[in-house]
Amino acid sequence: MYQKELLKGNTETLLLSLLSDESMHGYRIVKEIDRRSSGYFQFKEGTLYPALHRLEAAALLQGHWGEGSTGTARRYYTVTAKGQEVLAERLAEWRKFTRAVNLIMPAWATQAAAG
Amino acid sequence: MDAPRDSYITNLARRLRLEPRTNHDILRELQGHMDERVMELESQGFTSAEAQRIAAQDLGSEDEVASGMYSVHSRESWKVILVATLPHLLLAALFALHLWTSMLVMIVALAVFTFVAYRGWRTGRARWAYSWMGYSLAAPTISWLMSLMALGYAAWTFATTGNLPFGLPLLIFLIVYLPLSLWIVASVTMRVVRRDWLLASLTALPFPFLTTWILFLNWEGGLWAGSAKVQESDSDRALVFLALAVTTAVFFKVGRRLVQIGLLTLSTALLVVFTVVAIPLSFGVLAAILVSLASVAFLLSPAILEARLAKRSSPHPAMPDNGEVVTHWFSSAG
Repeated sequence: MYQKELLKGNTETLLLSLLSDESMHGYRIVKEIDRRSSGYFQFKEGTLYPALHRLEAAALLQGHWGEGSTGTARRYYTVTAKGQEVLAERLAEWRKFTRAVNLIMPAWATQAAAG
Repeated sequence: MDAPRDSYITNLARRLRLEPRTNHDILRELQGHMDERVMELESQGFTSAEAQRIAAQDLGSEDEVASGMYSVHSRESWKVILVATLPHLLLAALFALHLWTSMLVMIVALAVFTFVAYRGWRTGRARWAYSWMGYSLAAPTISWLMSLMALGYAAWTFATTGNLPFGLPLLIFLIVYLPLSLWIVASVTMRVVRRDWLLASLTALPFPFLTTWILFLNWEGGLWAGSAKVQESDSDRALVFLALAVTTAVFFKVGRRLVQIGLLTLSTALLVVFTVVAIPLSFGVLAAILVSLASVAFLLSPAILEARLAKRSSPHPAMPDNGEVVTHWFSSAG
């Protein structure tokens, strides 16, 4: 439950971070998040698309049609300049947040997280 | 029996109630996702049916996906909202300035409503066009009612006196016009309901108020009788149409269907009570409540019509032969 809440609150930042390196389509995003988090974040696939469309509606992402690995049309998402700005702000806030959390949490918890 | 993938896309197509182009893109995107997932699962040894079932399961319920997409795409920009509220604001201005008494102004206003609604419908069936459509449908609806009343009167006069109250050419015109105007209204209503019953309700939003106004006018001696009572109540009517503009703006700004349904219901119920009470005739509170309930029932009736149409429609609205995802309403957009 707690993990679900954490993911819900950070879905958009995770998507912007992931897509800031390269354009991806929805299925690849699911796979990449699963791979990079070693299976910790498991997106309910159907909820990913409304999140992507919400970011696109807010002009933080731009979608364009391309060809996927199966040869079918896929929609690729790229972070816009505005999206990069928002991401930079969120990452700066994230650093402050985690630093503050680490100052309060027991030492063993923060060491485990760093390790 | 449908393959799980086709069944999923078909069910999702039925639940998405967005603009045809948006529906098409969403279905195409999710179909591509499923195809890739199915291919991966098949390469792991799953049968095609199993792979499709798992791919559909991983995407989550169609209702959840459709609701998520609706909440993103149904919120309109302030520019679109302004265009959607304009017909109500125009009506409010016509009443506030007593301009409805000019036949020329009314004809021009009706022509503008019809033209804008038609343009909005032809260019991708934009959601803002539905509030314009309500007023453009008012003319054929009201003239149909008046033709029906005139024919009834003619039949009664002929039966009791043996003479017609008006000439034969007018009688023939009315007989031809009656099914024609009904066909126009029914055909547009069916098309709107097929897209989304809630948009049909939004289209019908001004009808209870236009109907009560016409009935009141009729009671006071007709459209251009120049009754002082009618003109005195113009400011109340302007307020009602201003409130309809606010209702439409909120409708397009909230992304949740339940809130939109509640908004239309509450707004209609309250404004009908206000309209009936404000009319300078001796209507009781009970009459106001009954008219209000009837108006709300009328406004929500497209939901029943949509359910009936869905039962009768093809079971595969989203999957034509060429595999391209096209919704049934999109393919007939013209």
